Amino acid sequence: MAETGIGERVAEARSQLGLTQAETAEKLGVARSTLAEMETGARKITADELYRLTEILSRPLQYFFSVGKRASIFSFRLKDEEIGEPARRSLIGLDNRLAELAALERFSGILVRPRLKQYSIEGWKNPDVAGRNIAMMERARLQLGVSPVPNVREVLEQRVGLLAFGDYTPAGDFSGAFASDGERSAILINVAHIKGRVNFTLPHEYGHAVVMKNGVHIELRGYVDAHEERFADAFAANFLMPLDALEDALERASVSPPEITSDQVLFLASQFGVSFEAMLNRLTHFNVIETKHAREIKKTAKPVARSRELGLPDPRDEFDSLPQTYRRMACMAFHKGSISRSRLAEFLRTAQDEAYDIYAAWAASVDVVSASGKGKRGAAA
Amino acid sequence: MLSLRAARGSGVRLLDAMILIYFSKVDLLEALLRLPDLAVTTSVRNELRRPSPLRDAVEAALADGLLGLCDVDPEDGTERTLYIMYRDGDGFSGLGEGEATSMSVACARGFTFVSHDRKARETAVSAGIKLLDWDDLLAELSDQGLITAKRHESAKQAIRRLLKE
Repeated sequence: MAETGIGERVAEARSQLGLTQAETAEKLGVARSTLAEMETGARKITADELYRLTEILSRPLQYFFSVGKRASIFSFRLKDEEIGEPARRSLIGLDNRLAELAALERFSGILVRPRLKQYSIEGWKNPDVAGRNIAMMERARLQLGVSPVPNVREVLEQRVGLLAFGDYTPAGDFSGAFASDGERSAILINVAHIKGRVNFTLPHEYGHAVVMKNGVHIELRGYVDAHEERFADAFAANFLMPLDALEDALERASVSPPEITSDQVLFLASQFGVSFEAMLNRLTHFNVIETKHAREIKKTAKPVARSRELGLPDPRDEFDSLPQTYRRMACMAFHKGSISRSRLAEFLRTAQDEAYDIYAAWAASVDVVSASGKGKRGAAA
Repeated sequence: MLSLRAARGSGVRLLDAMILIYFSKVDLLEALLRLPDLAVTTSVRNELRRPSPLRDAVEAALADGLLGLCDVDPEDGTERTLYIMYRDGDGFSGLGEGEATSMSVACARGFTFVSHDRKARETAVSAGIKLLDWDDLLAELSDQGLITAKRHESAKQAIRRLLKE
């Protein structure tokens, strides 16, 4: 395999982020011509510059030192000029997470291969109908019955083996992405959004996952394949709030549809783990509420403040950036002595002493003797 | 600050992050930093939480030249290859960034690596890298008269307790 120079790697990483030489040079504090020379190998890159480039370009040190081309699931998509820099950073983060999952599989011996059933939507003329029917089939396959699914993440992780990572992207155009490298798949969610929206994005991305095999799908405002997006929206709405589950909940709450109040919408939203707006839209869609009445409710409601007053879970609750299974794999790898404490901390994105505390809590919860019990030079050393 | 390219086989000791953490926890970081030829890599420096008194102390020591900064030379093929091998070689080493950078520099330049991590030490031994542990540095502090014998003993017990936690 031909060796790829560090300069070429810098150019590749810069291009994947959609940054110009001038923008990157400014962040690095050098002239554009200097960066150009670095990229062509005409000027040496110092260790200090390289460390700064790892931060500027959101790539780990090993990315720049690796020999040969590394396959990236985003290589073709990232050429699209419509994708802005914050979303590109998130996608590169998802690419890095998939690489970490592959490493963790080796270290822990735990495989995370999603049990995804693939459907085709090509035969469906109406994506809304396709979304509804496929969502119903998936709910049946996952044995969800007519119950609400307030914790979609847990269901996807435990019943499908599909892990969801969180990433904070303050710019509003990115809500989520799904990617698969052919063996492993993962969803990335922008946790800058409120929990109800996050809970909708999760099955939306899952909808994309069940109709595409490999590659990547990104959720950006103004960057949509109308047919597939309508399908994924319908899939998510029916997966989270199927008609029979809503009817059941309305009946149990003794709600009289025409007079439904904003508080009752809030209770239903909380029960189904979705945002107030998503529940209102759904009830309107099923004609449980008339459009005019829904508009009035929407105008006057203050869902976040009212949720607090009613003692409902805060819709802005934090979404843990790492899935439980991923944490378990990291702890298992450390327990087996396959990784050092420093690598454990890297996987868990925390300091070394905190990483050990997480490991110790995991060891206690699964009733294994923690690595520190192995003697002076135990894995925990 | 130490030269990035200190002579091969010189007495430079590259510290792992946990070594700094242990000495900080037993209030002996200041004494430790009075020992000669100590250095860290930028990756090890980055592994220390920020902000924290330890990170501040390390930054000050770097600025004052009490602690050196030795990084993998991006233009040195041997150091790059060693780094890749220690980081994600065929045996999937399982080492962290700080350990992989420290060991590749130590191996290429004949420096000593100071770590207590079992995984890192095993790899270092098989690579023929000179190794020290926290108790070696603690003994050196005592030998150099930088701490009393009593303090040496109490610190040793304290670090052992930390390791058992």
